[in-house]
Amino acid sequence: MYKKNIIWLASYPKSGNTWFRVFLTNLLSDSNIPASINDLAETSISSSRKLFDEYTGLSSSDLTFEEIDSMRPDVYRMQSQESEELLFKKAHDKYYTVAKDQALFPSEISKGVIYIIRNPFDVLVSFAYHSAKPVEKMISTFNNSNYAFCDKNDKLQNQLRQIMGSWSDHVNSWTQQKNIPVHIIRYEDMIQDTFKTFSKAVEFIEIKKSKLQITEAIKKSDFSVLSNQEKELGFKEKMIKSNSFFRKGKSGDWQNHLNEKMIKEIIANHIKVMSKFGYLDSDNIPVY
Amino acid sequence: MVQLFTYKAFGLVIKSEFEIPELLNHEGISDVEIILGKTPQNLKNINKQGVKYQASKNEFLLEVDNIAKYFVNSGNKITVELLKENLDKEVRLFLLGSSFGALFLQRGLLPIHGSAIKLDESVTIFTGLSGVGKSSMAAYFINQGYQALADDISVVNSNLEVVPGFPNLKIWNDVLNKLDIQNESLSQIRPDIKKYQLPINDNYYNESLPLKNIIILTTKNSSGFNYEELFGIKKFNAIRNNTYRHRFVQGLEKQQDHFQILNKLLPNIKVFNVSRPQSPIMLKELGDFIINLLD
Repeated sequence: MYKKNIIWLASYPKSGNTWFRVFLTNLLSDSNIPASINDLAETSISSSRKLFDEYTGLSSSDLTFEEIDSMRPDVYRMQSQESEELLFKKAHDKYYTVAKDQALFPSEISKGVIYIIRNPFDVLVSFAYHSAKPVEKMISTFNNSNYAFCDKNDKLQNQLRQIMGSWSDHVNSWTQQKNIPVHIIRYEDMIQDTFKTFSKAVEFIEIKKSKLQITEAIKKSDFSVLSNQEKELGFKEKMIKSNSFFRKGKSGDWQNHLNEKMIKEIIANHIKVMSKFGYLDSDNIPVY
Repeated sequence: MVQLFTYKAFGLVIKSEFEIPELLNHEGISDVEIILGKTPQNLKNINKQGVKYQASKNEFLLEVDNIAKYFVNSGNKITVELLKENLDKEVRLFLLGSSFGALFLQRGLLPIHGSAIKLDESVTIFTGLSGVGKSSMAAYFINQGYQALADDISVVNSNLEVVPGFPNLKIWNDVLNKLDIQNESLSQIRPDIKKYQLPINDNYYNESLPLKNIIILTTKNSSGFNYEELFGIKKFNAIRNNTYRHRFVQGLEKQQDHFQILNKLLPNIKVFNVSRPQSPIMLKELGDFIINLLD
């Protein structure tokens, strides 16, 4: 018998996943002090190599990407089985099947997925900054259906391979799948209508928390708190090449970084998904 | 009559029904035998189960899809059941890895996940998470003329010595490039993985030596190198957690042996956390930092 006790926190990178994880950590902790950004357990990342090796009894560095993918569903099943509590697992992988009728993220152990989506213009600028790459290069990454993290086979990377596909592929894969209940959150709503947006997510997860507890957790996860923590103590999830992980946390900063040609190219490649989630108006003009 | 091959590795004389060219030939009465045969479908009285393994008191079973099943019994026998046609290096890879790890734990030895390098007349082990640079440091030191006793699994015996494993490192292509080692004549560990077997014959130290230091490598996202010497419970937990396949310990009911050897070992060694910038790995700088630290 399986327990449906995993909530996947899925998103394309730089879409607000960490903010949401900090909020959850604060919500679930009884402490009066804001949770440390460096205490978001490493093992809560679903592409953790350490966890995979421990649960399989094998070295992932001796396995092919396909072999690893074929075992990942069982790793999650086993984690689910061993846990008496609800597990929150961050995922940057898109939703896909690893074998016939076998999804990477098994539905029988999944209580739900919170999918966080953000204006792709802002994701792009943030992603370029985070990876210390020019925006032009990130645009091709963004459009690349074969894009994956940690997919080199001639060196050992710190996490397991994560297939992401293009930005639109990613969004569609999670929001159109029918096997795991999905709750979609827009980053822009997390900023503009914070309490309502987080409250709805808490309702979806079905954990009992009062309005006060939610308000307090939001305060403890405020961008200024996270940014100050990073300034003081650093943040281990930051890439070495970027100056800080918590950069601006705003929406609309893309206007300072993208030119007309870039904007057109992004819209041309992602028009459907952008329109669907309210990032373009009926005249295909950017909303945020 | 099956031809038997006899080797010595990790301080054990091993008799095998099939050739294991990675290991060094030896003579003598065997401590461990490796045979080809049928393995059990499941173990009885399983204490601990992973996705691909089962462990009970004295028994351990590992299955690697399309390669082989490995049944490790009482610390002195390994049965290999092929799940592919050829008994090749892929079959041996998982034999010399997780299966040997279980064998060592069954025998009450302390296998540490990492490489062992001879520095002066003692050994320093480099351990840490997968990908942190354990084997890379070993390859770097060997390139500098030092000698290694083991790669990936470094075994400590009850005399608190590191016993030599076998003269082979597993090195990723990017590290070979960094060290200007050509890969043309080297064999990939598996066809789709550009990690190579690097024979280290001349730089292999084939005698047991006392363990003096364990360096736990970690990465950080800022520049420069840092170190911290560990003491007390922090030291204990660090080595317990870097025990090779430490989740097998409980399944094999070896907690007591494991606890005892750690307690005996730790007062006699120094343990350091050494953190390096996450990328790129600067082997020479890290090597120099460590040599200075241990001086």
